[in-house]
This record gives sequence, structure tokens and C-alpha cells, in this order.
Amino acid sequence: MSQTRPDIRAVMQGLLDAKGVAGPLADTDSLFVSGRLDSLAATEVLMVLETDFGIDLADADFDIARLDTIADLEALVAAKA
Amino acid sequence: MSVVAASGRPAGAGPVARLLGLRAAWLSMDRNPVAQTFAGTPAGLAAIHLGFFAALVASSEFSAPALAMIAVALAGCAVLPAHRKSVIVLASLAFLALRPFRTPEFNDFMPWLAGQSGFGSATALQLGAVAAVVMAAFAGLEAQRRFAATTAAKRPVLAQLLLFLAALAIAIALPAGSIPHALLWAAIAVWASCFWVLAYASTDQKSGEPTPNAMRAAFLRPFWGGSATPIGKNQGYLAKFEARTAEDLAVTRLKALKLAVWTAILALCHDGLNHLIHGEVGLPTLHDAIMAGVQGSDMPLGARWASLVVNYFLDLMIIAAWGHAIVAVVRMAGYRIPRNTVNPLASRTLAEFWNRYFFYYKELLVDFFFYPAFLRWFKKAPKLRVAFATFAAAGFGNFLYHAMAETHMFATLPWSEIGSRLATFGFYTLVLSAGLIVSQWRGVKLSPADGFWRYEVAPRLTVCLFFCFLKIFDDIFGNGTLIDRIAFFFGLFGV
Repeated sequence: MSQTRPDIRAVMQGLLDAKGVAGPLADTDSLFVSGRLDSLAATEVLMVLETDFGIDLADADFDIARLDTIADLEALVAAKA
Repeated sequence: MSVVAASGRPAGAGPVARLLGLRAAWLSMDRNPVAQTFAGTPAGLAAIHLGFFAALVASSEFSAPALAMIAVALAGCAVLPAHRKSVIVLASLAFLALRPFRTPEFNDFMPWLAGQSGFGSATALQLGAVAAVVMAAFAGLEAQRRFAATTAAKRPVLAQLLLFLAALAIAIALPAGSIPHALLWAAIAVWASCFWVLAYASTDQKSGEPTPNAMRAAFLRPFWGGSATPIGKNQGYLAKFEARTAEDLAVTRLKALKLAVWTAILALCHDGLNHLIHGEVGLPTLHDAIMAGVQGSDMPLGARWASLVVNYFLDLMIIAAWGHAIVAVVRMAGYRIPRNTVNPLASRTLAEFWNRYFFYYKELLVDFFFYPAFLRWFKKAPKLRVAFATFAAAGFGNFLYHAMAETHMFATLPWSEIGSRLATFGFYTLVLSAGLIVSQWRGVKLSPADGFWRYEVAPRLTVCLFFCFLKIFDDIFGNGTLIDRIAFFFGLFGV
């Protein structure tokens, strides 16, 4: 898990920087529901999860709200590992 | 404040500076400890609610009966903050029973159905339809819970859509004027108005949100009103923004008050400008300008352009005021949800505008069309993947949403007229999708280093022009044909 943290955090921080969103990001801060990041940014996250972590999110049971925080993303990656 | 004017007096002592100071104090009110403390007292609570309703009345965004409903519900939330959710659900159920529809066309549809079938009372027909839809929603949600492993339970929005289309096909096939025809169409009218709230309720359940299904089924028409787009989505979404402490609730209410006052200012400015430009000056509205072409009268080129541009800015103002009013009520109820419209003129891309212009509608299209398409289709071709998902949302989803919002036309209009209406709106969704796809493909990331014109002006002007032109085709009410609107567009360039 400690190996994935810098990657996911770096991706999210990069997206926030690109959108001009300032301020520190805690693991439990909402990224998409809060409006910090939009759906386009979400597609970038989805693609990173697919290509870098091999996570296929096409399952009908998947809910996009599971990607809303760094902690959510880490849990998703950890469950796959 | 350290700046000293030529007169020797501090620059901050002038009337303009004092006004700016007051404005700054007002805008930072929710961060002011004194205001926060006052907002938590009974006197503060009363003052905030009084100011809030005065602003809502001034904005004219709600009818008197809707305001009365909101007042009762918010009073309940204020008196019983621990039971806020129950108060909101009960008020929403009452609102659904009294005013199930979002448009005047649907309101007129019930008397039309009752009269045509000889049913008698339109009110009884409407109340019966509301009761049937609430019970069906409860049954559907319970079925989803009990049979969670089935494909229908995992894909509840698609399942609901297929059921809706099946019911629509049966209703169209039934003989007009019969009692079954009236009953089924009445239920479809209520269902169409609540479809997307129910869709969010089903996704809420899928995600494990613990609200009982009886409460979900009663929350099909949030008392804060709005269109068929659920502002505040569902119980799970609201819970993420709920004020958990007395201090947080005080801050949320102060934010609600600020937004209500901003609503009133925007609405009054809109009404004033509308009266001045279209009344005193006599510039035709965009609708009138397009219809003038249909009726064969000629308008000066400058007047056509002026109508187009004025329509864009007045539309932004009224959409912002409308959304702010609803979000302000949700906030006053204790949920600090994001605004529906956030400075759309700052948008540098079409996709950003779409996000800033009508956030909850964009969310609906993204949640139910964009993500499902993006996650399943064309994974090996990134550009095609984005294009397909964008078309699924801004094209197909947008078209479906509006066609459902006008479902009554399948009962009342001949197919030729339905086709004409859908052609115009279909063209609108195609152009919008194409614009958004190109905007995303380009993916231009500008920075201040690109210069004032390229960074600050050109992208915003492009966005403004695109949506100005797009508005020409934003019609599903049959005001002129698609050809008439294309003719108006080319007429802007003297063609």
C-alpha cells in the first residue's frame, strides 16, 4: 500500500494543480463529490487505474463514489493487489 | 488601509471604500465568529430565516404556495434539527401529492386526460397516480434490495428506463379516451417527473446507503422544487454535506442567507434588464427574432445579433438565480451542497462551461450516461472512448431527458409534430456533443504565460459564441422548425 500511495496521490495532486485548486489534500477529503475535480478529471483517474493498476471498473456493481477520496482509491488498489 | 488620499484622509474612509468594506464583511459573514455565534441563538435563527424569506420573496423564484411549503418545512428543520431528514421526507411527500409536475404542460395534462376519458375529477386522477407511483417505487426499491445479485438490481437505471419505455408503448397503444388510457398516462406523467430522483434513489441503495426504502420512495419530489433534475441528488449525496454540529449548522445557514440575497440581486437585475432591453428599448427576444423570420418579416442584422447575445447573458442570469434559490433552501435545511451555477463566464472550455452552467444536470448526465459508457466501451481507443461517452451523455442522455420531460406530447400530438420537435432538439444535442468532443480532444491547457488575449479573452469568447449559437436550437416546444432555426443562424451572417 505504501508503494501505491505516492502514485495515486501524485496523480490526484497533478489533477488538482491543473485545475488550479490550491490547499492541502487529506486522505479523506472528497475529490469529485465536493466539486474539487470534474468528470473529465475522473476519466483520467479511471484510465490510470486501468493502465497502471490493472483495475477493470466496468463491473455493473461498481459505483463511481468509490473513487471520491485518496483513501477510497488506495483501498481499491489494495483490494486488487 | 495604509494608503493615504491626497486630502490627507485615509483612502478607506470614503463612501466607496465603506461600501466595499461592508460587502467584504457580508461575504465573509460565515467565517466571522460573532456572526456564527449569533446565528446559533434563537434570535439569530429567527433573524436569518426572516432575511432568508425576504430575499426569496424579492427574487420571485418561488410561487406563494411553494414558499409556504418551504416555510413550513424549514420551520420543522429549525425546531427539530435531530429529525431533519424525517421532516424533509414528509414535506417532500406532501409536495409530491400537491404539485407532482415540473411543467405547466404536465399540469394541464391531467384535466385533459380526465375530460377526455370521462374520469371526472382531475385531482382524484392525479392523487391516484401519485399514490400508485410511490407504491411502485417502494416495490421496485424493495425488489432491488431483495434480489441484489440480479442484473436488474445492479443496473437499476437501465431497468427502470426499459420499464418506463414499455409502459409508454402500452399507453400509446391503448385507445384514447378510455379509462385505462387515462390511468396509465396519469401514472406515466408522475413517473416521468420523478424518474431521475428515483434513479438516484436506486443508485443510493446500490452503494449501501442505509436510508429505509419507505423514505426513499416518499422522497420523489424534494420540497425545494426544481425541474426533473434532482438538485441534491439523493440521501447519500445530501448526507455528505449535512451539518453535523450546531456550529456547522450555523455556518451552513449563514451561507444559505448569503446565497438567497445573491439570488434576489440576480433575479432583480435580470427582471430589470429584461424590462429595459425587451420592453423599453424594444429589442425582440431571441424567440421572437426567430419567429419573426418564420412569419416572413425581416429584422436588421444588428438586431438579430443583439437578440442572440442578450439572450445568452439573460439566460445565464436566470439559470443562476433559479439554481441559487433552490440550493439556498437546501442549505437552509442543513446541507451545504455545492452551487448549481458557478461563474460560467470564467469558463475557458466548452466542457468547463457545461460544468459551471448547470452542475446538477451535468452530474445527472455524467452519472447515468457518461461513466457507464466510458467504463464499458472502446477501452483500447482513448479518443473514441471519450467521444462515445460524451455523446452518450450530452447527446443521447440529454435528448432522452428532454423527451421524457415532454412525454405528454406522445398522448396529445400527432407523430409529425412530435418528429418536428424532436428533430430540432436532436440537432441541438448533436451540435453540443460535437462541440464537447472536440473541446476534450483538443485538451488545450492554457496558462497566463500565453498572454492576456490567448489566456483571458479568446477562449472565453469562443465558449460564449458557441453557446450563443447553440441556444438558437434549444427548443423542444415546436416554435418553428429546425429549418427555420438553421435559416436564422445563417441569417446572422447575411446568408
